[in-house]
Amino acid sequence: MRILLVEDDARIAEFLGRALRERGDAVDHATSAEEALDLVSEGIHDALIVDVVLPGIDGLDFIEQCRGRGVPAPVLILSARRTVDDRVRGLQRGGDDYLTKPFALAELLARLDALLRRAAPPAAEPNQLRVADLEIDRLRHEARRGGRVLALTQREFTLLEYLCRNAGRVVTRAMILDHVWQMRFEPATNVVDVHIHRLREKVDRDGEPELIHTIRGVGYVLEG
Amino acid sequence: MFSRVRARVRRTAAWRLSALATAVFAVGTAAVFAVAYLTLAAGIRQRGDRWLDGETGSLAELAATASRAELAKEFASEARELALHQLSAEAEPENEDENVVFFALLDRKATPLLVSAPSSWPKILAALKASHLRPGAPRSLSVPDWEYPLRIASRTLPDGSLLVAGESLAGDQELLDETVQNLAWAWGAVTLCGFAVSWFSIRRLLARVDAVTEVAAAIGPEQLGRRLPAQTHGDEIARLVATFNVMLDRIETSLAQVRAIGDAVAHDLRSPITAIRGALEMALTAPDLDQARERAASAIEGLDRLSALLDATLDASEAEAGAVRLRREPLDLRVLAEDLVELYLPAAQERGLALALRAPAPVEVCADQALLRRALTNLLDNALAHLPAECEVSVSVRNVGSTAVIAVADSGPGFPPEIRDRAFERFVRGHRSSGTGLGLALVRAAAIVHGGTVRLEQPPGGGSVIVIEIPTALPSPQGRA
Repeated sequence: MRILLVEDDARIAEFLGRALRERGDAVDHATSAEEALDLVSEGIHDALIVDVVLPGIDGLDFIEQCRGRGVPAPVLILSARRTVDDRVRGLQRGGDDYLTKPFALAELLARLDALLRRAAPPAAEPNQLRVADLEIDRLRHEARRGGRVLALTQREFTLLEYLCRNAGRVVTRAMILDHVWQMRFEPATNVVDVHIHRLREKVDRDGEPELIHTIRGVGYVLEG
Repeated sequence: MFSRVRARVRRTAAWRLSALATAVFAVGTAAVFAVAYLTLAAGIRQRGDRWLDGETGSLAELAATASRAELAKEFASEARELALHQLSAEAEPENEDENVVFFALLDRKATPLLVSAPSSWPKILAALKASHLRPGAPRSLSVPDWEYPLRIASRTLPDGSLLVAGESLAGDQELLDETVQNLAWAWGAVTLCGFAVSWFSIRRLLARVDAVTEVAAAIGPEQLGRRLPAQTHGDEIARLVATFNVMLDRIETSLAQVRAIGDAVAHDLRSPITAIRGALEMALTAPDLDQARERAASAIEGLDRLSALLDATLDASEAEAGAVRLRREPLDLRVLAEDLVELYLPAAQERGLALALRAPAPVEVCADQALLRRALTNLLDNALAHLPAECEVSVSVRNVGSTAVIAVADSGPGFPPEIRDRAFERFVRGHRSSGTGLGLALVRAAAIVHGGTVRLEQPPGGGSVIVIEIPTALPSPQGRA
């Protein structure tokens, strides 16, 4: 994938660029909207990551101009403004997703992937998910590990399904809260950790290889 | 020098106000005096006319029955009497030959048949002849060279002759002129008095305002403790002074708050930054990769907490400043509470706390879901962070009339007494609390922006209850503030 990164802060651009290249994406970097408009007109980018605060033309105006020129690539907005209004404004002016600084790199990558998936021709979401010997049947609302049916609550099933869909990718607590509880902020208490802990007790029985791993300081990953 | 003073005086409100008041007053009194003068003039004219009319009437009656000689005698006696009367009324008659009364009987060709007239009669006769002589209501007759006109009345006698009575208007006019002069003097004096009274009273009043200005100007950032001297009048200016002092109190309090917050934030930031820095330094010097990872992870956790603290500080300030734009939507508080209790239940159980929801019925409100969820989250975070094991926490949501009541009750030791009264203020936290001291401040702000209230109850049986009450109906339009 080829990503256009529009960010004037050199430190953020540097680490984002490195992270994206590390996982195999090609990255073009522009430090201003004017520069980015030249690059975007080539029409070779699969997604754009745009900082709102830029010198000259600001990020939201840039996105609007891109949309005006018919640029179809999905746009992930980065911003230090965190109110719901700011988010709504960003999405109204042509952004596809909105991430507030400071963000976890894992979350940025996950959101970017989600945008890229959405932009790709729609593939029917499979009703069966499988990670190692863990199977999830979305139609029957049933999860099995090694043939054994897991007794999950509604919420635990949603949580496990979310981890499965992102198998191999780190998901942060904020992402889990957002997707499973539709909450956009983190409580001060380790509520998510306790839920994961309970889920893990049901999924990873003694003797079985662990599927749900903790990545300290970042979040969780489900991996066979 | 003097003109400068004058210019300065003209710039004062006292000057403008008194000039305006005086102008209005002067116009008003002038109008009153004018009406008085016109009424007086009309009254004098009417009285004179009535007399002339009566005089010609009675002389005409006499002429019908008496001889010419008798009539002449009557003319003479009337004229004498009047002249005497006028002499006594007018101590110094000016224009003596103008100041006349005459009676005359003229034939059809205006030839005088019988005249009781003063020396100036030929002039009068000429004027009479010049004006088409005819009987009728009293009218004015101007005599050439005379300052004042004559007022004459006439009647036709049965034999065709014309009876004319005339009186000079000089006396009346002089009286009226004198009246005008007196009124003008009175008007001037009254206007001057009015100006003086308004100028001095307004200046006295505004001098008090000036005093306020002087003290207010002296109050700077260094002397915020200074207050205007209270005024005892109880009038508008005293109220202004009182309001001003209250405003200064508020400014002083907020400034002190800002300073305290600045100190608290600096303190709250320093410790975690130190810890993060330490963890990262240790990651650099870690003997193996696992330990380096462990320490880096701990640094990230520290950063997350820092970022949460920053968010909480901003949220609390914004909410308290009323800068939050509520995104109201219809929502069921029972569902919101159910979700949160479900989210917190495992963590509560892990800490040995019993968490229960008491929500017998849906509680429909039109409110900002994210903000209320945030508030309730803060309360639950508090409960989990501060309660000893074995305690019970209950979240209850119910409708009381048109109010939605959200209460979080616990059976814990209650709030430390020293912070009980200030529990909802920013950066107030118990000794052993590791929190930010912002949670309850946000709870209160969230309640207030929804037009509601929040309070802390400490039941005698122990424990504590935090009760949020918000109106279920949409409040007044400023609810979107």
